[in-house]
Amino acid sequence: MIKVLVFIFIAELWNAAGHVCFTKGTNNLALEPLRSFNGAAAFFGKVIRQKMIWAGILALTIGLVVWIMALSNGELSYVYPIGSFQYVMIMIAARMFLNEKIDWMKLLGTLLVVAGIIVIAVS
Amino acid sequence: MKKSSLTLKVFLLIVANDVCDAVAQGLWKQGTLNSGISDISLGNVTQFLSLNAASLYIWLGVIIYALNFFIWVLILSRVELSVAMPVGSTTYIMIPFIAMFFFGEHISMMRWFGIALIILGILAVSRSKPHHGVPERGAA
Repeated sequence: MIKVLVFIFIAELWNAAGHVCFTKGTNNLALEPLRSFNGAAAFFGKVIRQKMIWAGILALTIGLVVWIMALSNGELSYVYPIGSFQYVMIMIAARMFLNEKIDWMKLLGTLLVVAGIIVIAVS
Repeated sequence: MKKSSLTLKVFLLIVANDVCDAVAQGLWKQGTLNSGISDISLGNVTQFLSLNAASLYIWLGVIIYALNFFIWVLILSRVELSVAMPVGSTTYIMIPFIAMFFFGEHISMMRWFGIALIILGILAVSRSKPHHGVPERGAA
């Protein structure tokens, strides 16, 4: 039981790192051009020239491999909900690396997610 | 400007995104079941990785997951993350049903209760407003 939780934790750690990289890589790019096909092509052209995007893809790939290991070691209805731990991880990572603020509503939501994870983990 | 309310088109995009996520998870679970390894250790991890790297189910899941990334970016170009995220949490409702029907898993009342708490938590997180000039972006 502990092993599958460790796999989920490591997978979400890489996942959070990947999303921090994606945010850093796209923070200066406006998403508006996506409304037309040419705009979208130009947008993705800009995106793939960002080093941070490739760092993010690498981190998500590692996270995915570990996630599949977690899925093999536990029930789908157990592993997937516990994977919602990513909301907690990403919030902490956003606070640490992107200087995003945590307000009371976010904290309350995170505590509910954690409570749900604990209920599932011990049941 | 990005909308703070849902249109039917964006709603359907988000539901499509959730269905794809749930299907990918199901394919991965089936792929790992086919490998026959349900307890990974140092002794069988290389065997596990090579069996799954050769699995059609795993790669089909990866392709759907990659396509889903583009759908998610498309959604975030049309509505704010705080609008997209609550609808995105319907995957947490779909997964237990997939687990029951396709993998014969038993979902206890406690597990349903835990899932309900998680969905409430995601709703609360998405209710909070972004605080700085940079638009919020987040997880798919």
